[in-house]
Amino acid sequence: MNTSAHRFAYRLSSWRCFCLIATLSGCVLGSASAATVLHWMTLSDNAWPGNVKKVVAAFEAQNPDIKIQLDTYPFRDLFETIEVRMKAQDKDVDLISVDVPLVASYSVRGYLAPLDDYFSKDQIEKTWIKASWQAGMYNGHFMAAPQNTSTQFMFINRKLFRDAGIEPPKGLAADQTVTYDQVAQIAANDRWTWEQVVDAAKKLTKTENGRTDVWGFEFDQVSRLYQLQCLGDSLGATLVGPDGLTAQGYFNSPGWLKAAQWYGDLFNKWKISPKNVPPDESPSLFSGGKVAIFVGGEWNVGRFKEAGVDFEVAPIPYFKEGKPASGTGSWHVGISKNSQHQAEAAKFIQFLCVSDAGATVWFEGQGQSPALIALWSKISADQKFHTFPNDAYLLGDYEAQHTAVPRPLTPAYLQLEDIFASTYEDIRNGVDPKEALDGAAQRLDVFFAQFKR
Amino acid sequence: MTYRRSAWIAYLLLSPALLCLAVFRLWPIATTLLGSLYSQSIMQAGKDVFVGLNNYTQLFRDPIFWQSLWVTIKLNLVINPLQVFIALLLAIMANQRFRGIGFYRLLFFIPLGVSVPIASILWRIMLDPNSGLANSLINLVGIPSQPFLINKDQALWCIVAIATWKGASFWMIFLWAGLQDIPRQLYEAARIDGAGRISRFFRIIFPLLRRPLLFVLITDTAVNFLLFVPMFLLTRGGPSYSTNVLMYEAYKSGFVYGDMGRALALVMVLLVLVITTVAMQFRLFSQEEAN
Amino acid sequence: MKNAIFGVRLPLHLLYIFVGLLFVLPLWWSLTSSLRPLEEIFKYTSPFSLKALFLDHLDFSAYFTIFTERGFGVAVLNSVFVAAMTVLGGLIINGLAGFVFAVFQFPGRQFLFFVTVLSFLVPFEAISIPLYNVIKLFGWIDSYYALIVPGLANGVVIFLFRQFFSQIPRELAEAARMDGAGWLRILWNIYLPLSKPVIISAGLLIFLFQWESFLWPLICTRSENLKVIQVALAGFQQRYTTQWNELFAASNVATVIPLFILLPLQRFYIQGVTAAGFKG
Repeated sequence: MNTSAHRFAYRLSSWRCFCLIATLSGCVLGSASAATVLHWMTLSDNAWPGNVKKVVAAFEAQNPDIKIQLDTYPFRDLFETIEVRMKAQDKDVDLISVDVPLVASYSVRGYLAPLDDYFSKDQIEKTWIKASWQAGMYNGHFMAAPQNTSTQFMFINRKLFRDAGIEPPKGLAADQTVTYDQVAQIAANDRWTWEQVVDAAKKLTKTENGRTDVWGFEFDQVSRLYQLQCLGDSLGATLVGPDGLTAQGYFNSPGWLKAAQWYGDLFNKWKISPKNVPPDESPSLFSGGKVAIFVGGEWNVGRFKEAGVDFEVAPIPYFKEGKPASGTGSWHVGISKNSQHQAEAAKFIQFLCVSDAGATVWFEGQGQSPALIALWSKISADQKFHTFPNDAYLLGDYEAQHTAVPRPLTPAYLQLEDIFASTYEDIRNGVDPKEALDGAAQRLDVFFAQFKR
Repeated sequence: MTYRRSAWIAYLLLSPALLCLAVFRLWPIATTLLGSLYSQSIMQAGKDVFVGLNNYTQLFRDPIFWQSLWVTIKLNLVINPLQVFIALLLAIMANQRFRGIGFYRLLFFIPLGVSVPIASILWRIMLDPNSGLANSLINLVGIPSQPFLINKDQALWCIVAIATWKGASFWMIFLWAGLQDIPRQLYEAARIDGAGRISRFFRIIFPLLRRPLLFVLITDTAVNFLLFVPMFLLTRGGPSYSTNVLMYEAYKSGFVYGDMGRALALVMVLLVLVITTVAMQFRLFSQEEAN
Repeated sequence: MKNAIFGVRLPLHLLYIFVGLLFVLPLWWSLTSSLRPLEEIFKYTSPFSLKALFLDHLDFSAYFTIFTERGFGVAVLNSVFVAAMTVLGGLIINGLAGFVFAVFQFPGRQFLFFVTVLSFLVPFEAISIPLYNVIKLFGWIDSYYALIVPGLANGVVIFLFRQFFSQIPRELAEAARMDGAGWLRILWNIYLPLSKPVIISAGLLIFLFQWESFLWPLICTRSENLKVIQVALAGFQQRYTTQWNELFAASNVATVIPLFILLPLQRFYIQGVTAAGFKG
């Protein structure tokens, strides 16, 4: 798109701008030695920026010559803005929060600088759990370091179950102390199936005069790939072929068709789940006591506790004829290809993702499942994590080791995710699943073809 | 003032405006055209390579493009005449003279302060199938609850309704100004002639309104062809791609998929569509005038 | 259209009320919902009860919260500042251009005018991506310049000015010129005093355009403290989804501010648009 002349003009004028600005700021700052300022594009949602600032403060205390400036955006805007700025080869970006399934996409398009110089293979394997660091690799290069990972739980509103006289599944609740082994037992033996969930939800849904006051069941990130992947995984079906670039036969495989049909039935046949509630609003319904069974991310534990819900944490369900599967993977941090301060940026990544100091601040603030092996050992040893609600981490540990399935590795993840979301949203709104899946697979293959050139 | 000197002064005084338009409108259009001829190469780690008309051929082979095109045309075939017609009706209503008209006019003006994002957000809440105001109101008169924005047959028309609700007052003003411009004697003269109200309108008023009507039609068309914010905020192109207008598809290609070449190709197609339509409208009206 | 008599028939009033209600009801509901506690909003909406539209007590807490806790005040100030600056700059740039097109004779006048007006047929969304690159070139991303400068020159406004100035009889300018007046004097002493209506309508148009801007500010700014009101609202909707009362409060503030400017000036606005006449 840029002719070389345009590029030259661009470089010349930005060089001129840069010189001008540098001179001016030099004059203004006087003889003060300029600290390196790193720009980090990251999230602005909920508690994320607050906790990030804590880590940054700790880092800056240790490294007085490096300052980190946060460019924060809401979830959706972050992805879009990364596209815009990386396409424009913006030099004012040093660190990027990379949603783990996008590592391949960003790498293929040259957004990220490899981290191989800063982390040896040996170091990588010893530092993070396998699923996490593997997800950060592309073509044999380490492209983005794991900041944390995630897991999924089933949340039960105990009061609603009590009121309906239904026995809730075995899980973790208040006034209990557990050991890891006990948790593992529950997860291995007492896990509910999706079929059981639907049965209970039908009884828990209260509808009067066409208005529903209580819904039996709800997903956290409705219609999103991250949330629903576990359905197909439970039936042994993958979304794309092994090359990451084939949809036909995978996206619309019999396994996924079954999962899609089940998903659509939640809203259209059994009517135990509300339509037209976007992912941002779902958790509030559970917090507000309007939903009996909620399947969603671990980060909801703190949120529901704060909202004062009398809830229980149980392992994520599975299809009777399949095996348990849970979602995983979260945010990584990468260095922008155009960054002028890659060494300093790597230093920060070290601090946040590797060092005990940084990673602990992050974990204690944000509370998401750590990707650091060292932190896991800490958790299992610490008594704090044997009581509710912190014992949920033990469950998360189990899931990470036994049931977690990472998202598909494909350079066309953005297209995959977008089309998945619109397809499943259509299914949610009543479109025939077979039609929807077949159309989507066709569409996806058109996009995938581009990457095969 | 000699002719020569005044020309230089003219250019000088025009230069800020022309410079702005050139830099911030024309240059981007040129780069849109240029950019649509490039594509990000996977082989070369994201570098842009010249691909000629490849983006366009890929586009024309994509069934979703044709679907988007159809949605866009469908939308505009309805919304442009509809909005102009409603604006005209409102203008006529606002132009009446009786006690209390000032109050009514005030009511008509109120949506002027509402922006498209606000209208979208507000209406989304009102059109909620479960607990929205719209459904509870129509329930009162016995109509069952409608799915509105989550139904592929209703969603597009809901957006038409929202955009019209927001925009009608704005366009009304131009037409009302046009009506005000018509001397009252003309109305009187027509009445004395004994002409019926409708024919009075068409024979006398309408021709005199031609210019403001054309202005409103053309500007509104340009705006509506690129209407995008309600789709962005409310339906994300769904359900089932029923609101996936070309502009939204372009936005998705550029900002969500990162495929800038495709995005710019889509924009170029849109621009051609807009200019053609506007030119046709212009031609149509001018011809009638000649008659 | 017809010179209606005083004391119009009831059905007609009903018609007007019905249309007026269509426009106002959603906004009224938004107003009442912003003034009540969160739980009550949907309680009365579905199933519908008149209580949804009428309050028995007023709860202003939502309005306080959006300013004290959600930083909405910054967005309001930003929008006001950006809109004001754009109006000021825009009036000068577009006014001058309209004046030149109306009064001066020079080669290429028709063509340039045609191109100018045509350019406004290219709405923002279409050029937002390349425009971003242009702004990036100037290093203006995430600054007030990015928000203001691209909005300064506006084809519709130039058109408006040109039409208006064309209406002013040439003889006035001719006479002044014979007296030896330069263009500045002519502009200042003759055209400007007559321009109040068009200045107000142009100003209002520019103001509205900037106030309602959403996509461009979304793309070109990122700092929290540069967010303009529409972007802040959309972000608000994403972040605090279920704080309905606050969302309504913020929307109402964003709607009322332009109305405070538009409604009192509506007379001039109409005059300006009328006088532009579209006859030229």
